[in-house]
Amino acid sequence: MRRVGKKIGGRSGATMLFAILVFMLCALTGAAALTAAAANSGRYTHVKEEQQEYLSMSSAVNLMREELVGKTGKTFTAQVTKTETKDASGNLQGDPDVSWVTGSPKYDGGFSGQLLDVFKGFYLNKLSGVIPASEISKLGATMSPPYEQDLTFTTGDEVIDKYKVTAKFAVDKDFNITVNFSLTDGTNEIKAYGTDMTIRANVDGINSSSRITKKTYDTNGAVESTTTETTYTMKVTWLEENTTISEKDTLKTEGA
Amino acid sequence: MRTVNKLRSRRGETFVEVLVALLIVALATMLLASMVMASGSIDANTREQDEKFYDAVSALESGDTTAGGTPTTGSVTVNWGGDDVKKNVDIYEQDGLKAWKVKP
Repeated sequence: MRRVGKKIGGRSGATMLFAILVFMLCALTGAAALTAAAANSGRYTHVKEEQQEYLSMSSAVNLMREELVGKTGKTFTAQVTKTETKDASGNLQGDPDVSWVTGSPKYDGGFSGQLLDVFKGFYLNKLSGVIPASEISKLGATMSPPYEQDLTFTTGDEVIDKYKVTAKFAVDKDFNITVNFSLTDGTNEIKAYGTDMTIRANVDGINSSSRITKKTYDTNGAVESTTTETTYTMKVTWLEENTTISEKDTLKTEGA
Repeated sequence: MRTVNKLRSRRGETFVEVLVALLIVALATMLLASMVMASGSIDANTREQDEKFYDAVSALESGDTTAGGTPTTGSVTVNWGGDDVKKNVDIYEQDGLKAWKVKP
């Protein structure tokens, strides 16, 4: 420092000092430019990891949407018939006969192995307000809403499974489906990619229709007994337009 | 004041001193130029990588096979409260990123 002071104070030239100053300026400017470029390049690795998180999550969301709604919607239909015979006074003759209509219950969506029993149980639960429980038990087990289940998605692929997708699946009393997805990196939840999918159901029913299938008459020609068949029908539809997918942060889902 | 005096001083420097100073300035200029060129090259690489990356992401999202060849067949297992449900899927790969879609 003293030398620099001396130099400035001295009567001789300062070309060398000026040159060193220029050198230092150039070195600093160059270093700053290099650091900025290197930092920008390093950001790419981080963005790539984030993108894989997004792809792992959106793949699972798309699967569930495809299975539960599809392009044209999914339906659950259930039809039960009750056949009962009453005498001329309107008293029941024996126990009514209840049975599923052929081909019913039917669910054309995905995960039918799991969901058909759930929807069937819900239908029977609703039906218990219409026909006695003792008769419903002949059709299968009722199920009280809500139905909740934990799901995990694995592909066996190292890159995709680096981020584990899990979901909480639920069906409420009105057959509305909600799936709350979450993503973890194995230990911690990555909150930015949490996604909620809601599918509102259109429920038609339970509708009933009755018809007399048989009448018997006594020797005097008066009605002795009447056999009536009543059909209880319900149709539930889940459509694409009733599906909402909440996007958190950068998550975007096609068609949502 | 001293600096002003210095600027007004009619006293010069030796030829060697001027040469060395010029050499230092030339070195400094070369150093700066090479650093700027290197950072420019890093930047161009990053931009190219970025473009490729976002093209890859778009292709993966849309399931565009023309951008990255045919997808490989795989399966996803959904564990449904203890039961495993297997679904056949197409696995798309682009630029080290992977996504899957249910087979149509």
